[in-house]
Amino acid sequence: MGSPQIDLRAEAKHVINQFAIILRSAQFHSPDNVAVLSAIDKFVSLANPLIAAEGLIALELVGEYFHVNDVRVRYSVEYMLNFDFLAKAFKERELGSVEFRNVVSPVDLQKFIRAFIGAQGAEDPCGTMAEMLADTDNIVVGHLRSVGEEESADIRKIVKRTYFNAVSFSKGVINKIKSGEKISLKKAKRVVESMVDLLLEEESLLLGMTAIKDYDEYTYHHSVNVSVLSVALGQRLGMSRKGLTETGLVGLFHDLGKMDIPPEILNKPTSFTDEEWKIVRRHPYWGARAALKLKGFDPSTVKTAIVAFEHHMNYDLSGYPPLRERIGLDFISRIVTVADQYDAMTSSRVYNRTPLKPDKALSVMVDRAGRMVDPVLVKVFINMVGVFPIGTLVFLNTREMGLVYETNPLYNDRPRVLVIVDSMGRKGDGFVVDLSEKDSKGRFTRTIHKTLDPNKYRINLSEYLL
Amino acid sequence: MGPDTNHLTKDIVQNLIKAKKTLRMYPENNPIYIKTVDAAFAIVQEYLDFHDELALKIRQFEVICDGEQVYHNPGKDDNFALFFFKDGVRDLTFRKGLVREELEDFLKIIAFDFDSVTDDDDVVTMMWERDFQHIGYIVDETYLMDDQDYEGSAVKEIREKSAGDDEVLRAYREAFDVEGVGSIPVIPLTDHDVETLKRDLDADVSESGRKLRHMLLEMFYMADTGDELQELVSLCKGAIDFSLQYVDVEGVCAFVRKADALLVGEGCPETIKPSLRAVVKYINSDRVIKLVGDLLDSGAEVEAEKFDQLFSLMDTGAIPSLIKILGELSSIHARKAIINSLIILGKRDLAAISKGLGDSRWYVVRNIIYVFRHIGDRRAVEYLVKKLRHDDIRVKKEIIKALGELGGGEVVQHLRGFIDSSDSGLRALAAKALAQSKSPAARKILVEKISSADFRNRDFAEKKEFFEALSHWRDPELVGLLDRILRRSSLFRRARVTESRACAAYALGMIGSKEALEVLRKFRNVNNALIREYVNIAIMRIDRGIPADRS
Repeated sequence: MGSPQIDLRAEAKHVINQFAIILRSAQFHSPDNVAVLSAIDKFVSLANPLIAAEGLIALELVGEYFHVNDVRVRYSVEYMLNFDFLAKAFKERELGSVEFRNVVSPVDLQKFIRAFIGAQGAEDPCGTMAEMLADTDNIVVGHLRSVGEEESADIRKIVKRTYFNAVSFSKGVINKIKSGEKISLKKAKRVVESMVDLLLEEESLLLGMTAIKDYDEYTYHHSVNVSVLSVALGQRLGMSRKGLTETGLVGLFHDLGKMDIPPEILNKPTSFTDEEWKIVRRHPYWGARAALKLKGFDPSTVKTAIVAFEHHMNYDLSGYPPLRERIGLDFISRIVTVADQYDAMTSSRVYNRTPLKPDKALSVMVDRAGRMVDPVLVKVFINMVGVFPIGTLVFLNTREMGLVYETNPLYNDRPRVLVIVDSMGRKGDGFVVDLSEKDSKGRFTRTIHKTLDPNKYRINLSEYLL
Repeated sequence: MGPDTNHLTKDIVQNLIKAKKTLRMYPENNPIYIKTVDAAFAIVQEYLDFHDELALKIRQFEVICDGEQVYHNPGKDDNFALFFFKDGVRDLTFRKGLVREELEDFLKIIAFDFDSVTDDDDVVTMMWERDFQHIGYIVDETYLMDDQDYEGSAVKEIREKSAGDDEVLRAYREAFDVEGVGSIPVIPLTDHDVETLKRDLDADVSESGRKLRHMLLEMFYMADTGDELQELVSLCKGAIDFSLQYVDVEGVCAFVRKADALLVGEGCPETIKPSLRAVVKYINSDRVIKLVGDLLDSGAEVEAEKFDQLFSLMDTGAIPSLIKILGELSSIHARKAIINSLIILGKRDLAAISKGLGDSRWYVVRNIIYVFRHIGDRRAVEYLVKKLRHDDIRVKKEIIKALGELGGGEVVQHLRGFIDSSDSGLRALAAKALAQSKSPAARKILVEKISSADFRNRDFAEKKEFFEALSHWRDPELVGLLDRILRRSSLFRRARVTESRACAAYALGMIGSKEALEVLRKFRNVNNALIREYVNIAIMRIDRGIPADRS
């Protein structure tokens, strides 16, 4: 008779949370402190049955997410702060994995805490930890894994295909609706599921795709971008897979009502007249109607209609359409509003014809927090995209110029940057630098000095991502 | 793959096919269901005991394992391979560590009737949402693409637009003149923020119906044309249907009340009033009532008061539809709820209820009579008496009960005919009903019948019913009559006379008056055991003050 069946995915998040609690307590107390010992006892009681059932617990940080025995552990809101803390702590120590084997004792964990605290600031923190844990077989640490060039190219290919597939689908759907055809949400769900899968594994790359703004078919790209950004935000909030699909779907269809705006207004190169604004502002109403007519009422179409109706209403309901009787915005509407405003502000074919630089757009959103957008969601959003979001054109203190390529959750103002012009002012093929890198004196090697408008010079990540 | 392994893999596929059918037919607690899942799990486990994984390649009409065909079916019906292939699944893998619960969930998914359910989920979506730990699949996504060349043309377009070296270098030169970055004041998430998010996430699940209804009503004020209003009415109807399908009876009530309030409230434009009225009226429709019936029949946990609230919002226009579904419902609970609704609405329109008396189904007619009984309006008599010749005796019985309860002199003449009916049950019910009418004519009829020569030949039980009916009149004259019956003696058919005497004692007990007691005491020691027993029980009844309605 084997060990009783344990739901690894469900148990793993409690184990990770408890592990984070130990390490948080250990920041302020010695490993012998009662608070730390109590946290250790609880961890042991959670972990050992899991080890018995699974053989071992291999806790690994892959991208922004923890995996336990190769199973990705979902974020959950109640554990969000602890998960973020642990991911940050792992990255600071270049720690990629911790394996718990046999039967883990409180003494083993006390050793781990000493190694964890002691390795901070070491040249090779993970190596130092491994040395300090050499006398125990029960806890083994490993370095952060880096993705190989070849693997990275393959992933980029998949990300690209998924993104354009979604745009192509979005275009097809709009055309079908315009011609009065009924559409199947089956395909839409599958498209969104692919995006969700990628966001779980390759968030930065897919977010990078949303940073390329210079397409002719703005409407379809915008829909997909809002969908991607909304799902990414939902993922940060620990939504279930089903919830993420729903969020992605409504993001994809949030602007359905724009179909009814006459093209001569929608594509007008100059500012709208009052009369034209009046028409444009009817698109949430048209969108809700269109969503409900998509295929009859079901939870997906209802949610789509609600979000289409509310996405310009603003957090304080001061937006449009105006309501006679006010009730609070749907939570997914608030998510989509954040994604929509960010993508719209950073794109060139919206009502405001001058696109903002990504960092400027975030700054505007911070100003709008509490009035136009949900203040808590803005915080989560900025943590997700970083202070300098992917695609931001930056000028470094080293006189190098580049594009933000990947965010760094550890330092949200120190992303990875693709340098396209070197310090001598020469345009090159591009090389990636990590702004969190420090020199031998512990000073950051590079810092963002200025940001520029990428649209003004038509510089974007396409050359490197596409 | 060796011949044994190939054989085992073929068996596994056959087990999965069998389970796909069985799980569709039986509920989870059925032994056949349990046995099928156990068998499928055991055989997959047998394979995984010696292999790390079982990888099945899905082709259109075949399944391949380790390069060998393990399933083939060239037909399109019940094709295990095609079932996966059409949704894009190309590889299906069961890995070591698979647990029974996972396999059962997988089997439930493949057993799901995708063809008959209008759902947006396909097998891939369902597997994706279940997020199996030990069952993997690879999907060919090309079938999702509407335009396979879209990627190529979009990339080409964006590359053509991209900056040349000159633009990049211009940006570089101008960067020196640009202002330095300001900092974005990002405040980290607090515990309070996390709590707020958690609350919002939890609350959001149940909010959709309410928001939908609120949104639709707001949209009436935004509509520009009659066509738009018409369309909104249809959408509101859809929203009501949707709410009922998702067991939100309370939501429907709130929606209708809200629409009603808007109609009578200040500032409601005349242009939208007819549309709002149409929404309010919709709850009386066949469609809504059918959905309510389905909901009632489904056994969904909804408090009865919520249905009552909904029925109270309906108007008499709903009566025909309610009568229609009354005969279609299968559960007593559901029929009871509809009957209650008809009692509520019928008070406002007896004529509409009376249409149900013409229904071809006897049980519907009986239910309608029951409705009339509970409405308690004497005007119903005119409809009921028309059905006294109904073919079904159960209907007749219900009418007799109803007439008795509704009372009044006019019912006596109709009930009189049943006193001599060939059916003893009808005769007894008629007696009871006559008594309930409390009319002097009814008393007279009963006295005559009890005094008639043929009455003594009736069964003891029926006699008892008649005497009990008579006991409703408690006058001294009646006590005198019963005294005389109690004294009666006969040389012939003595047993029959004895039964009548016992029944008289019984009736005196029911009357319960002082005079009745005096009469009974005179007979407490009679020789006849049956009479003595009835007399003593009656005395005891009076002594203990047992009310007449507790026989």
